[in-house]
Amino acid sequence: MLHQPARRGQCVAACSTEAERLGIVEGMPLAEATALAGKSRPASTRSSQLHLEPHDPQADRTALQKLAQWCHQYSPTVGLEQAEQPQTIWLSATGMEKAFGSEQEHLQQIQRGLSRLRLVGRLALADTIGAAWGLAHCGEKDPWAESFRPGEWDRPIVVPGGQTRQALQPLPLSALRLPLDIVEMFLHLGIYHVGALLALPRTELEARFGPLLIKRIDQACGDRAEVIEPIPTPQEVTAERLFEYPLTQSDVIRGSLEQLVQQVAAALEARGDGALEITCRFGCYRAKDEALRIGLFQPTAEARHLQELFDLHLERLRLVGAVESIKLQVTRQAPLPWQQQQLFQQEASLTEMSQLATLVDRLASRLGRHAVMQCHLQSDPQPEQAYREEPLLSGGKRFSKQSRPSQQAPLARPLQLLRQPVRLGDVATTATAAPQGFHYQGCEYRVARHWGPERIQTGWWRRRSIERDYYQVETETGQRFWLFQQLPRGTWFLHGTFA
Amino acid sequence: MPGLLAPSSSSAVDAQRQTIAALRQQLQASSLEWEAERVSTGCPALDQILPGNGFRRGSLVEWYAADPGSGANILALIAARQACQSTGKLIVVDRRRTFYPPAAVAWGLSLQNMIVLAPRNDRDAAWAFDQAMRCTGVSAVLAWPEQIEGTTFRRLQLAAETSGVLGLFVRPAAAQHEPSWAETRCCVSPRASRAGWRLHVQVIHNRLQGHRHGIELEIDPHTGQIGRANHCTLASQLADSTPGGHAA
Repeated sequence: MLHQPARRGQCVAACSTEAERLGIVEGMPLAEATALAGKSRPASTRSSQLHLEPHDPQADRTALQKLAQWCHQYSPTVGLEQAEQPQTIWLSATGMEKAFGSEQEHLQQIQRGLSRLRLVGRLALADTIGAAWGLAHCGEKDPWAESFRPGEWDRPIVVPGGQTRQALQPLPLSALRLPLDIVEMFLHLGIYHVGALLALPRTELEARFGPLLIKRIDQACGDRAEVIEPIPTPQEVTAERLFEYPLTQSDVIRGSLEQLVQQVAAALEARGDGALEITCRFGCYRAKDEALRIGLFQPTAEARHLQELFDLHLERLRLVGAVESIKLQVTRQAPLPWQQQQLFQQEASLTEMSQLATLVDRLASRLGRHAVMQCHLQSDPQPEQAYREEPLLSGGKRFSKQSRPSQQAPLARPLQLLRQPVRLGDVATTATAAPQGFHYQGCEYRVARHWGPERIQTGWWRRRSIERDYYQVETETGQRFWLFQQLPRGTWFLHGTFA
Repeated sequence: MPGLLAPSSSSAVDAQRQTIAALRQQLQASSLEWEAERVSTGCPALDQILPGNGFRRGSLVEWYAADPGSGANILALIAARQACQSTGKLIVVDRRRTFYPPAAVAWGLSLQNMIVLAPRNDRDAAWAFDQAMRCTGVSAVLAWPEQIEGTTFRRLQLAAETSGVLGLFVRPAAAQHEPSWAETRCCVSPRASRAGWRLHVQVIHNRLQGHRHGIELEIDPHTGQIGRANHCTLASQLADSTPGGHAA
């Protein structure tokens, strides 16, 4: 839950879906919300489940602006809602069906893009900004869908042209972006939906409720123009060279690329930015174009460093045709880190960080972005799922989140875990089903002592649930292994070694 | 017979002065070795048998695992933990994709300061190891190279000396007969025990030490403390480890 200052104390600014199910709503006093959350859970889990943070409107706005910049790949005109705390991004869809195939495909691509960013957005397409806002915020179902399922609120809504007024009819009054006091007045009068409001005499509405109400109705229905105030388009840094004759000599290609890299680096440095991602596209004569993509650990405008990374990629690149053009495009950039002149220890640590960033860039260029990873623990009983690997150049937080301390004893888990457990042949067992001896890699091992079983079981809702009895065994020669018996079949596997 | 304390001629005096100057130079050179920053192995008992009570930063250490499940990885990992302390970066070159981070966290390492590399072939793994060893922003590198060519090994040693990175290799026991540029080489073999987990560590080579040293260590399974065998805590002695074991 996010909380913010209210007239008396703190109140809920936003909460998760799980919190909503407990009855917590926006505007509720924080003490009441905390009490509701505490009642619903066992005492042992309360403190670990409830997560409170203060609401930071400025951070929200900054994040939304960044997302709006990202949306430029879907529309040339992107704007932010004009409000104190904007929650909506406008995209102009005029003429976009030619670029994306159809309006539905346009919206689906935006939704897929948001999914990749782990965001859920409510999308609506209509003739007017007002109607699109209302449908996105308040539309629960798409009435034009051939089949829809209640609760499918994240499905894009597309209103065919000329049917805006009809689409607005069933929406609640809040869909018209009206102040809360006006909405409450209409609710008091028994008017709940936009359709009922539109049926009322217009002159009386203006006289009673002021010009804002009429303005919103006209904007939603298309009787009054409303335009998107576009946010500035990020200026792309690109450099391109077209060759008079297609080239095949690698040293000439490399030399041309080097000149383009210097141009790009100079352009970035001039605006105080550094590249985080650069795409290089080789246009090949009568063959498929080849593209390279370089990710960087921290923004850089150093031509030499960028060229080194390209050289690492070029070593492995096989061009199938002669090159007739090279284009460099900075697809992600950020302000260059400002490094104050420091003395002694701090200066050394800045240099070390810079060296580390260079190392990460080189490793990712040669090994691949997905081969340079940072690991994070996950709360999952299945050993293989107890952690996840994230590429260090994925654009997420780096070295920023302190890993929670382990609650396991040091020898509870082996330092080497096989990716695929190895099935063991005949495993001798005791009367209590503990392992007594097994064969592995051509050797026979006799168990001197064991610890277990430790039952690890995953839920039935998992596609492949597991039920395993794990044993840590020490052989007569002192070697330690981690075995498990898969239930209910009873097959034995070796999963790790305490090497 | 003329001796050092009773020179009989000026030429003999000059010769003695030169000898003394040469000896002083050697002493100064060896004191620089000793003054180089040392990293504890993570086990005080093991520190005591190493010159300078630990590994020298900017050196290579080889651990030879006598058998699978021998415990060599644990000793290498806690040495890496000591080298990195709270903020140093550890690079793990996981060519075989068997490194298990949750177990490393249980031994006190921080995933926040760890980068795991997954090279697709041995050549890329060797290149990655070399690059990591040259980076002054790295405190330690942990890898499991099965084979290292002589020239590559020498290059790694020079890279370590320049950058100050501690390189920790865990290799199969057969590799101990191959030429090595590691400053310290230890062979780890497990031993049967009734209490904690017992390991025998044989320091088969240390550049500053002429002879071999061995020590029996015992790992307390509950606390992870590693001490000299027969000096472990009462708790681990009382831990039930008989056949039939105990439930987790």
